[in-house]
Order: sequence, then structure tokens, then C-alpha cells
Amino acid sequence: MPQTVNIKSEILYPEDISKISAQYSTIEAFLYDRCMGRLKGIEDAHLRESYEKLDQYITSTLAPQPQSGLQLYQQASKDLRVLPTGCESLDELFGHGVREGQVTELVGESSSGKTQVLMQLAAVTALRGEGVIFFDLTNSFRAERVLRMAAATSGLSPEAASSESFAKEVLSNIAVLRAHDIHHVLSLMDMVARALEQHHFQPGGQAPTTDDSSAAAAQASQQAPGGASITPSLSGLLGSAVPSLLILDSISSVVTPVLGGKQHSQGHVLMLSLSRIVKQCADRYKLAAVVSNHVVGGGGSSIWPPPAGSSSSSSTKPALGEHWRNQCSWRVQLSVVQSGDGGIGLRVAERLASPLHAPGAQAWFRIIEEGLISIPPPQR
Amino acid sequence: MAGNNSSRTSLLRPEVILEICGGHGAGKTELLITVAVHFLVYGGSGPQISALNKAAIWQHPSELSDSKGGEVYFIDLDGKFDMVRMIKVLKSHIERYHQDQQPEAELVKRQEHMLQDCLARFTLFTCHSTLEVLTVLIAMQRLLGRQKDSGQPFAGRTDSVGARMLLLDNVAAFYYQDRATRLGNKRISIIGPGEDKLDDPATCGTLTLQRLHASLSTLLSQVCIDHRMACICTKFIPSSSNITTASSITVESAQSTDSHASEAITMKEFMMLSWQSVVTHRIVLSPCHLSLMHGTTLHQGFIIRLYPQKRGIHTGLDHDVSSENSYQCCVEIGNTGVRNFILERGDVAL
Repeated sequence: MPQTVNIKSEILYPEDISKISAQYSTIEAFLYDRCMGRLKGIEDAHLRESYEKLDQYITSTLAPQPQSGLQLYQQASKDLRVLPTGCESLDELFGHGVREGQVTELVGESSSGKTQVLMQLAAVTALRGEGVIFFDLTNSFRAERVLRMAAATSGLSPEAASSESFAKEVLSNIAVLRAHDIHHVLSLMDMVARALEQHHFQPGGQAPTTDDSSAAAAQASQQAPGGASITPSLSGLLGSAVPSLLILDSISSVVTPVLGGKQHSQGHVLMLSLSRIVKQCADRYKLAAVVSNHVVGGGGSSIWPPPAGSSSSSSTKPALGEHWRNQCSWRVQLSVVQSGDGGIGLRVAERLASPLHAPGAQAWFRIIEEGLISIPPPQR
Repeated sequence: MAGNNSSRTSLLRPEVILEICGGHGAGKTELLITVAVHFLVYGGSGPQISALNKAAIWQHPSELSDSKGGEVYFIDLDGKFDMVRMIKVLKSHIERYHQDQQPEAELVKRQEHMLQDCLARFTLFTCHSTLEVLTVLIAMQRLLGRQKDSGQPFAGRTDSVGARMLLLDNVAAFYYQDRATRLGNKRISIIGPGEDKLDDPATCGTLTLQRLHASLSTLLSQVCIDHRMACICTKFIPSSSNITTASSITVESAQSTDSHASEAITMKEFMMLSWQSVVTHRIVLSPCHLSLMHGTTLHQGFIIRLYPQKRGIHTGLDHDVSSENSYQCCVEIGNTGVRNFILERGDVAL
């Protein structure tokens, strides 16, 4: 929910504001007339000056700031960050890791390994000391599993892994937020965005404790029972570890109930609003956002190899419809491999969409107790 | 003004607003990046690609060292613009620009200098709502107005200002959210003596879909005319859309050389009439379901149909695609961006 904002600016004096509010009470009303070229009362020179100052305010404060190509080149060549997943073959698909500032989508049938990949990603990131915001929308997050994966990545023995200090070190960097319907997710995302915004301006690591966030937190916890314990961990997280990863597992479980059907006419609006706020957070606060999604269609599960006679592109496709397909920059599809001599736990990931590569590359990996290990592609 | 496609040789004049429509994965953002790079490197004039030859024939401009590259303003609504991709395409264009010169130590430095020069003329705005787009256009008006008044060159340039281009990625990005805005919705407000007026929809001025599209189209065309910019927008079209509109345009994407059945893309026009009336030209992109063997690398071809729209004519009637005004060509997307490609029988392999 966008907030109502008071204009505080050195450019606009109170008398300017009172002159303008006599004609327009909101900036939107002003913008509409200004764009259509028919501002009211422009015969008055003072009013014209006030309008000019309002223009200046809009340009400097409300409009997104321009970024020059050189600045972007600098960021792309020096500050570009990718988050490794801990599984080399998967990292190859993503181009060394999940890109910061962009939204990645993991698509797959049930038990194709999406939550495993996400938990491994969270474990590896938390191990490096960076914060993870994990939206667990399907109740499939398991802290023990994440710890096990983190231990295996860092090479510790199981005894050292089960120590309290290691658990604290890793798990305190992961904030798990649970929600079960789209409205709760949206309000939690609002809260996360506000917390990130305040943390952005106080990089010294102070936990945000203004009235805004506590009021929002109280509101969020009122909306769903059992949500009251969320906020302290988020502000604690932001105090110690700068978040660099945002995970939503799985977005289809909260969006599918509202899409289509006669009960909800605003399903698309809700889905696209969620996508917009995720993209906004990813872009503004330099997070890597990863969401998981189901598949629909096809004559059954998305197994590998695809049954003869059907082209692999049309057997199953990502859920949530056509509008969702345009939202994410990266899309990777996971499939279960028909175990012949491959053993259990074998999975194949195929890159469906990427801004940098042509689609079609594949990566093979196996899910074992220690997490994910990459497998070389089988000989055909 | 040449594009990378001879059908658009004289298309991108300053009063043109070109709309590139397509579904997901059709290559709209990719095409925008290629156009941006081409314009940055070559500016208003540029190499003409002969459509008659499969191998592109490049006719270099007469003065190699003095080409005035243009300025590009990119407004990104979708979040799909990737700087890494743009740099890759830009570098390959610059290499091709210098391809007939002897490799030497100086050449690398010159290429690097040209890269910096091109990037200095590129500006990116990232917007997350249509309101932000309006504020960006106002900011651009002020910026460009100041440049015009003072005669100051664009930051970083020493020669006179070249031509300008405005690129907008996915003008339909916030369509659903904007459509859901009802009167009386309060967003950013001035809290002042007129506080009680917030409840009155007449003075509250909520930006409904109609008003948003009207203000966007008016402001956009004004900025483009005032500052002599050509504008290219992309528009995402969901292929099986259940948006109810009064009009629909059927595009036949016939595969000319293969036994694939021709698929009809029904494109429903969902933007408001105010937007439709400022768009002057439209390109429809769609991915071919063909794999082309070109040398040893696999490329994916796309079909572009171009048909100009006459301003002021409502596109409510089914558009006649087979008129002489429409043009079809095939492009491929590779490491150098989008390139013109002629589909020949021998190329196709499945």
C-alpha cells in the first residue's frame, strides 16, 4: 500500500503550497493537467512560479534518477554480483550464479527439487555472512536440512555441524517469513521493503525502530495469527547481515487460488503487484530474487527424457499464465530423470530464458543427503 | 535514418512513434538494445544493409572518424534491460565498425575510447509505475529544455549535439494495476489547506487508466516533437489474452519455407484510444519455431511484420494485413544482437 507522503522540500515554501493547493489538492491532479497542457490559473505570474518550483520538486525528488551509461558500465564490470548455488553445474546455467538485481524463476513439477535448490542457495549465502529473506509459502523450509547443506559446503564434520554456535552463525542470517495467502504476502513484502529502505539509509547497521515500521509490524501481525514473531527476526537480521537474497517458495501456491475463476476478478492485479514489488526490491536494494513456480499441461509429470513424439517445448509449461511469463528475467526448468541406471535423486535443469544466453542449455545434478552435487551430463 | 534493417531505412524520423509488439520471448527488448547500440555508434546516418544479399553489405559513411553518434534515453518499465548484454552488443558493433583497420595497439585504445564515448551518451531510467514514467518525461523536458536554451552540449561531449532517440520498454507493463485504479484512490498527496478536498474525486484527480494513457501519450508526443526525438516503445501482448476489448487484429505468421502450419496470432488492442492515436508505426514480432543452421551455430529466426498506422484512424476494424503497406522480414538474434536474415530453403533444418 503506497504511503501518503508529506512534501518536505527546501524548494517549495508554504506559500507556494497554499497557492497550488487552491487549484490542485494532489500531485496527480497537477500532473494530469500539466501533461495535457492546460494548467489552471497560469495568468497569475506568482502561480506560474509556484508551478515551476513544483516541477523542480517532481524532477528532483519524485522522478527516478537517471543513470548514465558510464555509471552502469562501472557497476557491471566491477560491482556485478552473482550468488553461487553451491552446485557447479547449476551455476554454469546461471552464468556463475544467480544475478543480483534480477528476478530468477525456478519452474518444475512437485518433487523436482525446487525447494532443495532454494534451501541450498540460502545455506551457501548465509554461510558467507549475507542475509537471506526466505518467504516460506508452502511450509517446506527445514532448518536442519539447511544446516546440513551449510555444513557440507563448509567441509565441517557432522559433529561440528550440529554445534549450537554453527547453527546460530548460519541460521541467524536467514529470516523465514510464513504466509498463506496473497494479501498477507503483499503486506509482508511491503514491510520488508520499508525495512530495507530504512536500512539503506542507515548503513551503520542500526535496527529500524521508527514508528512507521513498528506500526506496520503491528498491523501485519494482526492480519494473521502466528505472524507476530516475524518482525523481530527481520530487524535483527538487517542489523547484522546485509540481505542479498530474497526467496519466494513458491509463488504459485498463493497466486493460483486467485487467478481465474469467478470469485476473483483482480487475480492478475494481485499477481503483477507482487511481481512489481519483488522487482522493485531487487533493483533498488541489489537483492537477487528467486521465485519458484509449478508447471501445468503435458500428459503427466515433467520427466526426462521427454516421451518420444512430443517436442520438449510443449509438453509442460510454467504455471500462472501468459502474463507471468514476461515477468522474470531468468527461467530454469527442473525435471526428474527417469531412473534407469542413474540412481535416485537425479535431476536435470534446463535454461528456458535468460537475457544473456540462448535457451536450451542443461545441467545435471543429484540430490543427496549433503545437498546438491553436480553430475557430468550422461553420454548419449 | 537507417536501422539495422533496410525496411526501416527512412522510418525513424523524429515524429515517428514506433510500437514493437510481441509475446514473451519474442525479442522485443533485444531489438531495442540493438537499435540503441546502432544509434549510439552510427547516429543518424549509418551503414545500409542490402536486403538482397544474405551476407550483409556494409557501406561505411564517408568520414569514418567524424560520425556523430546519437543520444539514447532508455526508460525501462519491465526490469528486463541488462547492461551486460548491452555492453556485449556494443563492443561487437564497435569491433565491426573498426573491422577494416589494421590491428595495432592504437586500435584497442581507440575502441575503448569509442566505447566510453558511446556510453556517455546513454541514459537509463528505471520506473516502477506509470506515474514515475510521467515524472521522468517531465524531468527530461526540463533537462533537454535547459540544453536547448543554453546551447550546452550533452555532458561529456565536445561536439554539437547529434540526434536523439527515446526507447520505452513495455508500455503495457502496468496495465492491470492502472486499470484497477478507481476514482477516489489516494496516493501521493499534498497535505495543505485543501486537505478536505481529498475526498472529492473531481479535484482529487485520481489517475485512472484513461487519464494515465491520455497524459502519457500527450506528454510523450510533445517531448518527441519539441526535441526532435524518434520514439520506439515495446508492448507485451499475451498470446491468449482474455482482456476484453472492442478491437482485435489478426496477424498471420506464415512460415514460408516449411511444413509447419501457419499460426494466427490474435492481437487484441487493449491500450486506450489516446495511446493508439499517437502510435504511427507498428512492428509485430513473433518467434519462429524453426532452428536455422548458419555455419555451425544455431539461430532462432523471428518474423517481423511492419505496417504503418495512419494517425487518427481508429484501429477498431480488423486490420488488413495483406495490404501493400505491410512488410515482412526475418531476423536472427545472435551475439551481435539482432541481424537481418533472409530465409532460404537450404538453411532450414529441424
